[in-house]
Amino acid sequence: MNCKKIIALLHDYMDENLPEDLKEEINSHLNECKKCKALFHTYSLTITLTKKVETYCNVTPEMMDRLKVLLHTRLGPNK
Amino acid sequence: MSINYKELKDAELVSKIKQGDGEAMEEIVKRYSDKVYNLAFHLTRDKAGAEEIMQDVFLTVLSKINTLRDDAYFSTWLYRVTANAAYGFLRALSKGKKGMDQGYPNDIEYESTYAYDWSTLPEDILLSDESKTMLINAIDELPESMRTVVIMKDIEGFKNEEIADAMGLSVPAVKSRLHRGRLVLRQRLSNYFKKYAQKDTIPTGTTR
Repeated sequence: MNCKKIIALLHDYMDENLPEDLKEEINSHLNECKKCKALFHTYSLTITLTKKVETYCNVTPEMMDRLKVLLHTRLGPNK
Repeated sequence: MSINYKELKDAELVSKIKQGDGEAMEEIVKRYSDKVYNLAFHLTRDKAGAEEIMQDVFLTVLSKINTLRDDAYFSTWLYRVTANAAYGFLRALSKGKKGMDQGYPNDIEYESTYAYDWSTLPEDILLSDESKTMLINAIDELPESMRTVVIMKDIEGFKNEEIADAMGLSVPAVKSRLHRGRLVLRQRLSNYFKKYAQKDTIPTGTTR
């Protein structure tokens, strides 16, 4: 296992999509390679921080009214 | 006999909309307006734009629903329509600017910021307004192909398979774009956080 391979396999490793032997190889590499360990930690945290960017916003009643008017116009007199 | 639209499956509603049933359309709007609006907002970062896109999307539902062959695939079709409408909106905004996928290096340079483990920084630094703004900008600047996948997966919480269906991609293609997108974001964060690094915390040495 080398560092370049770690980068390529990181995604599947985190999704727990790898066969046991490959996982073991990565684990032992991470234990001895500080750079890859740093990559692993910061990659995971990048995902966590990205999730926190979420600003969930609801469609307001006013927006819903505007949408309904628009759709009714398009649907015509028969609704 | 009156129909309880709330209890109908999406596919049943879709089949009714195809026959011009307005109440079925209303139920679909109730079920999906928040999701469509949020996806549009996260792709464009523009509230007014997101409303405009949502309106376009549901108008498209009315005009194009007959082109949907399998009614069970309504939601993935709807998300594809939403993503396409959002791209259209962004393209209109960036007229005259260079294409969104241009000017990005093919090979991401990992090496320069590879080593510093900023994950141990205190939360007030990691979650500061400044770092959040930086990350939002970095997401906005991702090439379109990566940005949509990162937003759908890491912000909106879609499954890889759902993203693949909505984007017309294979699951491996979704995973590869997601991975590359995350690596780019990680690098941007590393560049930003490196000012907090002490020299002795950065391991030296070359990549094996």
